[in-house]
Formats: sequence, C-alpha cells, structure tokens
Amino acid sequence: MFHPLIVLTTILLYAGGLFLIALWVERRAAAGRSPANNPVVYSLSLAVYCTAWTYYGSVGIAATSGMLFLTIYFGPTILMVLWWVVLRKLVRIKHLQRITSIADFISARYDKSEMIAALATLIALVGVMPYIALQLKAILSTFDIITASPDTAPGWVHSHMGLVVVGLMTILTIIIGVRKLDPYRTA
Amino acid sequence: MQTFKTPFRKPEFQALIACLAFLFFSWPILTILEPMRNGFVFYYLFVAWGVVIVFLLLIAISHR
Repeated sequence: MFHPLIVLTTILLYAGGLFLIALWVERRAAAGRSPANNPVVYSLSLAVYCTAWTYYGSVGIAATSGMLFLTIYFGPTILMVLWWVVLRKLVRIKHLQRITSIADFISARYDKSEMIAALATLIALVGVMPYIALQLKAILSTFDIITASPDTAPGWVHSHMGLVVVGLMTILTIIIGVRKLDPYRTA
Repeated sequence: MQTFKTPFRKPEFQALIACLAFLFFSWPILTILEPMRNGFVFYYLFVAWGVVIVFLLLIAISHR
C-alpha cells in the first residue's frame, strides 16, 4: 500500500491545486471574464452534491437495498425543475436583504430578529455536525485503507491524520470561502 | 422557436413536470411495473430519469 507521507503530499497538492483554480477564477472574474459564468462549469460544479461520504453511503445502500439508492439522486433532479421559480426568488431576496447565511435568511422573514437568527444558527450547527463528522470519517477510513500495511507500525502522520485533515479543511474554508463573505455587498 | 419556448418558461408548466416526475418515481407506478418482465423497473427508472433531465435542458434553453 501507499506510504502515509505520499498520500498526505497528494492531498496537499490537490488542495493547493483547488486553491490555485479558485484564485485564477477570482482574478478572471475581477477582470469581467469569469470562467464560472458558464452553463457547463455550473452543471459540472453540481457534482459537489456528492460528498466524501457518498462513496461509502451510496455504495452501501446500493449493496444492501438495491435500486433504493437512486432516490438520493431522483429527489434533487426533480426539484431542479422548480429551480427557475424557487432559486431565482431566493437569489433575489439574498441580494436585496444582503443575506450571507441560512440564519440571516430565516431571520429576514421575521424582521431580522436576532433571536431567530441565533436559534437557526444553533439548529444548523447541531444538525450539520454529524454530517461533517461523517465526511471526516469517510476521509480517514479511506486514508486507513490505502495506507494499511501489516509490516510497519503507524507513524506520526498516520496517527495524527484526523487533525491534519481538519486543519487543512479549516484553512481552505477560510481562504476560499469565508474571507469572501461581505454582508455589505449588494451583488 | 418562440412558440416552442413559451410553455417551458411558465412556472405552472414547471410545477406540472415536477409533479408528474414525482408520480413516475413513486407508488403506484413502480408497484404496477414491478411484476412485469425481470429488470424492467431498472430500465424504466433510468429512462424516466433521462426524460426529466431532457425537460430540465428544455426549460434552461427556454430561459435564454
């Protein structure tokens, strides 16, 4: 199997590649020639629906329940038919109310109540935590499988992989996503 | 071309397609199809899925 350092280096190179692509898209967008503003890129980017856990979850459901696993994909496909009505409305409200999160969105419905926003944040936090844990479990399980070796004892990288992945994901989220949030931006 | 695009742009038409799609992937259609030839449901599901995707494409084209 692969050496843990090789796998870690591959992960770092992949994350670095993602960052470079994001940077390139940002610069092109600033020049008014955004490659993201393209139907093909948009369609392909919908693949983010398939998370790290999908590789395990979908295959697991297909193995145990057969075609029932297809429902995970039928639902969003059918709802996409209504995107032109629902999503446009959401984007319009988002621009108008300068909304940056689901908590903002729900509280905007109730006169921007801070209490409602705090409650929505709390529910989202509690709800999303097991899902994020599942993604990390998928990454770490994959790491364990592809670095498994009966001859050598687990090294530092192997035993601290969880922390490394969480750190990497946090850094990427900050540099690619959160730093772009601007509640005062109107468009 | 405009005559072809008009119905696809209407929210009522999109809601109808969504309702029909929900019907095609649920009871009782799947229950009726199940006892038919072995493996028929498998092909039916993928063909119906393809039809919904074609409708998505037509709706997207109508908004251009």
